[in-house]
Parts: sequence; C-alpha cells; structure tokens
Amino acid sequence: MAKYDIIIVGSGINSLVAASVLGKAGKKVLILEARDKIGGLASTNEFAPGFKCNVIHDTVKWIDPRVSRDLQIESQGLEFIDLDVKRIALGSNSNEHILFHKDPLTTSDSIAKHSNKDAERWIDFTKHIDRLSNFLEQLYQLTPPELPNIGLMDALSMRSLLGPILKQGSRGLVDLARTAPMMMPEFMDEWFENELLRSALSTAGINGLSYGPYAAATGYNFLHQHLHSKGIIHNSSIIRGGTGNFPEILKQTLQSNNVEVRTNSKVVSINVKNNAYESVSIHDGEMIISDQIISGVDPKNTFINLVGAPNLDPNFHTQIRNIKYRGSTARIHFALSEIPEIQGIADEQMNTVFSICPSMEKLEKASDAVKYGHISNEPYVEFSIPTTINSDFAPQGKHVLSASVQYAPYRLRDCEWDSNSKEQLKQNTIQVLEKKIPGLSKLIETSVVYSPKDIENEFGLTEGNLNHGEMTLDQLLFMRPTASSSQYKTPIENLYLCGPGTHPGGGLHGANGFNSAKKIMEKT
Amino acid sequence: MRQGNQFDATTQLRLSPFFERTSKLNESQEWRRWSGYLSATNYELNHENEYFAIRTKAALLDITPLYKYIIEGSDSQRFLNKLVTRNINICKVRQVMYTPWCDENGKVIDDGTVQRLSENKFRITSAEPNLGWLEHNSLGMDLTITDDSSTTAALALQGPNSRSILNAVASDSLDKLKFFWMMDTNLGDMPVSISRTGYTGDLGYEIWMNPKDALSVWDLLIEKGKSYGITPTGLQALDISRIEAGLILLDVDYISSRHALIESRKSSPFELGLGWSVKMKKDDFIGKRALEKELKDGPEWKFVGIEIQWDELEKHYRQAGLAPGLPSTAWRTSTPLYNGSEQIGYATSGAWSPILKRYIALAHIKTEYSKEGTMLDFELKIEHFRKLTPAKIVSTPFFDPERKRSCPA
Repeated sequence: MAKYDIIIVGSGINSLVAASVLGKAGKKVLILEARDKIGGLASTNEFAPGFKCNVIHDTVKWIDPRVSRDLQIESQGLEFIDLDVKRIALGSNSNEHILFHKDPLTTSDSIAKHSNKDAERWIDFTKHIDRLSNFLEQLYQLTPPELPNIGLMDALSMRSLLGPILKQGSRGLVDLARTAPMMMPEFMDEWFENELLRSALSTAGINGLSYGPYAAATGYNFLHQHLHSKGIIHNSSIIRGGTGNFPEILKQTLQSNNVEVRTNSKVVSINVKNNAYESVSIHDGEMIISDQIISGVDPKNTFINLVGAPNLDPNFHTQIRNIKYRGSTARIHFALSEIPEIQGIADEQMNTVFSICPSMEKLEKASDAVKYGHISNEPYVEFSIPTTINSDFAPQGKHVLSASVQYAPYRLRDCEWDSNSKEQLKQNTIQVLEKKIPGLSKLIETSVVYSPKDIENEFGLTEGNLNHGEMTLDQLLFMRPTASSSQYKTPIENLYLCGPGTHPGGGLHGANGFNSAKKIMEKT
Repeated sequence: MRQGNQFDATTQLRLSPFFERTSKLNESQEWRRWSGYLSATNYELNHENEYFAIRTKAALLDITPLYKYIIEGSDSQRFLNKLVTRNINICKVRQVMYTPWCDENGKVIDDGTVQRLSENKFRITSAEPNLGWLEHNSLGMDLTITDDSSTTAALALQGPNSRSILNAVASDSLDKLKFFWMMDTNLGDMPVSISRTGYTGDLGYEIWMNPKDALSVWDLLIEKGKSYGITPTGLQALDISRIEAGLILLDVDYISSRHALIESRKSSPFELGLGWSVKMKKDDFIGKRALEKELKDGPEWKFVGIEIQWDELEKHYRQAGLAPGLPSTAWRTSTPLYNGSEQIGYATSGAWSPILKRYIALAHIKTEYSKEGTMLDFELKIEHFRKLTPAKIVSTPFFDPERKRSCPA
C-alpha cells in the first residue's frame, strides 16, 4: 500500500489550497516543492541585503470565498489590508491623477476633474461590473462540463448559475456573453470618454497578457480581475508582512492536518504505465508512490516534461503543445535610498498601486513590441512601494519600489534575455517612471529584474507566463488547459491538475486548487 | 523525398529506378499512378499471362512506390510498439511483422510491414505517407526517422518458381528463409535484403536494394529467371491475386481514419479482419483504450470473404439471353449486399479467380450476419437492370497454397 494517498507537485497557492482541503478531509498528502521554500508566485524574497520584495504579486485581487471560509485563513492570522485608495492612475499633471477609491462616489469625484459625463456614469458602471462578475463568481466554483458529451450530472452541477440569472435576469447573461469577448476600447466606448480613465481601466484588461487592449477578450480579463469586487474597480488588498505570508498561513493548516511538505525536492518525472499514474521520481533518484497525484505546475511541464510525450496520446499531445504561454510581463524591484516623491500624491496615498498609462493607444503600442520580439520602448508600468506598508522590507528610511512591466516578451527576436536586454528593459522602465517621479534614478541603490525567462527559471513557469497559459478566449473555461482535461482530471488515470493552467485561470485566489480537490474527493 | 511543393505545369509522375527497363517492356503502355509514381498496369495487352506467372511461374513487380521509413535509435522498439497494434517487443532481428496502426480512437490509419533490420533499426512500409504521424508520435524519444521511400528500391518476385530463381542468383541459399523473415545477401555483386513477404498470398519474396543497383538487379533476375518463366507483372494481375489471398487495400477496402470525412467511414482493425494483429496484452499503444472498449462491446462490422454462387449467376444471364458475364479484371466499386430487403453490408473489391474458378469478393458485413456459411444477396447489373444473386460467406484466404509458408525439406 502506498504511504500517501495523494502527492502534489509544486507549492503555489493552488497546490497549498488543494492540499489543505484534502488534508482536512483526512487524506495523506505529500507536497513536493523544487525550490527551497513554498509559495510559488506568492513568495516574498530578499533581493538585496536588507531589501525584500513581493517577487511577483504585490496585491491580491480576490480570494475564492470558499478558501477564506473553509481554510479560515484570516483567523489563522492572515491580515488583509483593505486600502481606501485602491489605485491611482497617474495623469500628466499633478492635479490630474484619477484615484480609484473603495467608495465609488469618491472615485466619481476624482473622475469629475476630467469629465462630468464619465463621473455621472461611474456608479452605473460599477454596478454593471458587479453584475457581470456575479456570473463568473458562480462559474468559477464549478468544474467545467466535459464537452461535447454534457451529462445530466454536469447540467445539474451548473444549477448554481441559475442564481445570478434569476437575480439579474437573462439580460445579465447576454451582457456577459457580449462583454467577455470584447476588446477594451469598444467596451470603454460604451461607457467613458476620458482617455486617462479609459486607459486606466484597460490596464486591468491586459493584466498578464501578451496582447494589448485592442485584443479580443480583454473584456473578459477585465472581469476576471474584478471577481468578488462588489463593483469596486481595481479592487485588491495587500497582505500584511508581505504576500509570502499567505502560503505561510496555509502551511499552518497543512501542519495541523498532517500534510507533509518537502522543499528542495524537484520532481523530475511522473511515472506512468498503461496510461495510469504510478509514482513520481525526484531529482535525487528517490521514487515515491501514491494513489493519486495532482500537478500544480503548468500543463506543458506536467505532460511534456514530467509525464513525457511518449506516454501521451497523439491528439492530446498536440493539444498540450499548442497551448499558448507567451509570458510578456516582467518584474523589476528597485532598492531606494529614500521614499520617492510623486507630485500630487499625499504621503498616506503612497501605499497604493500606481499605473502609468496616459492613453489606450500607448498601451497598444507598447504591446506591439511582442509581435516583433522587442522590449517595449515605452512600456506600461504599474508599481507600488511595499515598504510603505511593511517597513521591514528595507533598512530604516530606505524603500523598495516594485514594478510590473509590460511588454517584455519571452521570445526576443535578435537577442536573448541576458544582462544587456535586462538592462535595456530596466532603462526603458526607469524612463517611464522618471516622468512621474523625477529624480528617481538618483535614489536607486540597486535593483533586480525578473524577465519572463528568469520567472521561468526561478518558478518553472513555461515561458514565464504567470497564468500558466494565456487567458485568451480559446484557453478559458472548458477549454482550459484543453477540452479533454478541463475537469481537473486528465487522460492519465489518477493524474489531476490544480494550477492556474486550469479553469478559472491565474491569480492568487485558490479557486483552481479548491475545485480540483473537490473533484478528487468526488471520485474517491 | 519531395523537396517542398514544386508542382507546376511541367510536373510529371515520378519514375522508379526500374523505369528504364519497365517502360520498354510495357507493350500495352498502360500505366497507373501509385504513390506519385508511374506504375505499369499490365505489360502485355491482357494481364492474364502475368496473373498466371504469379500462380504458376514467377512474377517480377516493381514495388518501389511503397512508402518506406527507417526508424533507428535506442527507443525505436519502444516507439514502434506504441505505434502499431502488433507486439514489436517480440519481433526478432530479421523478422518481419505485418501490422495495422490506429489513431487514438482505434481506427486504422494505414497498414504495412515492420522489418527489424537490427536491434535498434527498423523499416516500416506503408501505403500512404506517414512521416508526419511517425514524427509526431516519436517526440521525446531517442530515435531518428528517415524517409527511405526513394533511397531504397524494391522488387517483388512472387510465384512458385521465385525461390529457385533467387537460389540461382543469390550468394546464399534461400531454402531456410521462413515466411515473414528476411536475410541479407548479394545478387551478383549487388548487396540486397530479401524478405519472404508479398502481396499475392503465394510463395514470394521482396528484394530491397540501393537504387543505384536497381537496373543490374533487374537484368540479372530477368536473365537468370528466363528459364523459370520470370514475367514482368503489373498491378492488374497483382490485384486479382491479393483478393484471392484475402489481403486488404487502403482506399479500396478501407479508408484511412485520417481521410475519412465522417466517423462511419473509419474502420477498426476488428472491422477489417485484423483482430488477430491486435495484441491487447501488450503495453499501452495508440488506440488501445478505444479498442478495449470495442472488444467489450463487440465490433459493429466484420470483414469477410464472399463467393458469388455460380448456378444462380448463370441463370440470371441465361434469362437475359447472355452467356455468364464475368469481370475480366478485379473491380473496386462498392457493391450492396442484402439479407432479404435489408442491406446488411457491401463488397469493396472482387474478381473472378482464374485459378479457383470462383467469383470471389471481399466485403464488410454487419457482425450479426457475418457467420461463415451465411447466404446473402449480391447486387449485380445485367443489361442495365439490377438483380440480386446469392453469395455465401466463406473463409479467407480464398487461395492459400502450402508453398506460401513452407520451406524445402
């Protein structure tokens, strides 16, 4: 008999959530993590002596309510800071910034500086988003149906979708069907006239994508960022002590449920015989047996690298190989000698997220770089200064500025991701930042650049895509990661998936892990 | 190998390395296309002499147009075992296995032979191009796949005298070469591989050689084979003999699952009479799960031999005031088969067997009507009118001489 019921590969949020749920249900679970610590993209690292950063995510957009409820993360000590100002879109003058407040009326006032018409429509817009995300909220808790053979059970399991339909009327569903495939400019055309507002909203639509706002389904991505937001635009919260505390808290749940966690244990193969999972091998040659295995790593790594192409059916193999990754987001962390000054921003507002994006056209132009395999000359930059919340992230009086930069395509045409290209990306980013923070360069003591290639190397994400596969229409819902593996189970018996490469995609929400664990418990 | 798409107005069919000889011998100048090659239909005005060469003397056929691939590397056995339905793990060096291969839904893509040339080197032949499929399924394995279609020329020498001819020209005796085994030898000073395989169901061999030796090998065989009645033979005669042998032909008796426009056009190996070649006990292979399920549920179709009953056939013609009309060549038009008023199958190829003096055909029949001995109605047209005439399900091969498998004592 196997020592473990279930082995989980990787220890990102979804893996930890799945492990917690299964551990609570009494399963013997073992987590195998290649890095020296758990957390994956929710890690907090020291990047220079005395300077820490949230490597990938400074904020959490939303968390699956089942995760908060069932795993009681807050009572375990996880503190979410719910800022009043969620985000500031920096305008060309110090009095033109748009502040996205928690309170829509205050946001509306901020918009009124630019357009009364837009300010008036703001409340309706927030309600509209709330309504649409309500559908997705239900959908995100479901295992997608197995198409084209939808069974009665599948149909019944989708009855929770009736709730929002009854509440919003079928009009809501029609609106969702219209909005999801839309591109941001057209979506915005229906609502707003001010370019700064339009582009500030569009930045949510391109989050993590390799496309610009003029791409189909950026509307969907916008909604994806706004689940459980109750219509608060650019809603997010910050974890006290750093994003890395999230996995640490989940670890406590794991420990109390006897889930074993092994770090520095890189899985090198998932051993399969006659199309069924048998064991895993780790880098030092050890082979571990379990009844089932859940992979939290992306589909390409799971199937091509770990299971191995020779063990896949040709059709499935093609589908897996054809998944688009195309990571195009880079992270740059700057260690600063003092807090930078942004004109028109009060001290107490310095802890929010800032976006620098004057127009949608600029966003689109920045994204053009991906097509040609270049780094954007004038990238889209959003940043925060995590030291304003966690003073221990830097030595006394010093600060950290962490920027997410689009677009830095994984595949560069004429060069590799080496120190030169990273330097170029950094300089392009500093140029953009300098326009809003004059003199920033003088404050920089040191910095670290995570190109998509670095993200791939560090976290094992194929092509450095943070979502484990592009969030495009053809790779969503029942098509994520592929139509034949979108139910968390896979064509390989006893091999399951729980990472962001599955429905409902990327983010630190844990929905994938929760759904996957639920699916496994249904089976056994 | 084709170099990209170079098709233009001057593009012609490809010529085999034997063409210099075959073109001069082809009195009828009747040619067919075979895998893009110009291939002799008959050499004489009528194929009958060539047919009888296969059955009573020795027929020499240019089979260079076959698609051929070399699989080489430490994973080649594992790869082929995953690809085809036969158990390649038990295929010994110099052994040859006939096998179909399927897609993941257990539907046949193509069929051919796998030759084990050495521990880690195989040649697979096929009716259609398969390079893409082979490469696709070999990803992640340690092997190389080479298209050998134009780098190896091949001849089939088929018929009761074929062994004697080869013994007369080869530097090694073929007496011990068993059915579906192969050997390396020299014909004159030309190195060749000879496999005891063929598409006629008779004693016969296939000779694999470097194209540069093609003409010399041909000349040598013709010269030394003369006294044994060696006869250059075309596809017409081959078609009759392969039907007598009960051997299927892609695009005639079945459609590759890759080209089938609709699901019902696809066939599993069980539906093509190839159930014997599906080794369910071996490790996972492409299509295994689907085939397991099909085996459990029972295949919907069977592939059988039928014999059109002479007396009734003759009667139909007599009523029309005609002598019995028999096809002089093999036919390939799908022909309905009935049980009462219900169509329960269709014949896909048939021929008058000159050696058996029986009118035979290969047919797809719904499983429930497929028992040997069952009488069906075969549709035929006499003077533009459709008639039904009885046909009986019989076992195949229709013609199966002992010499096909035996070795001299």
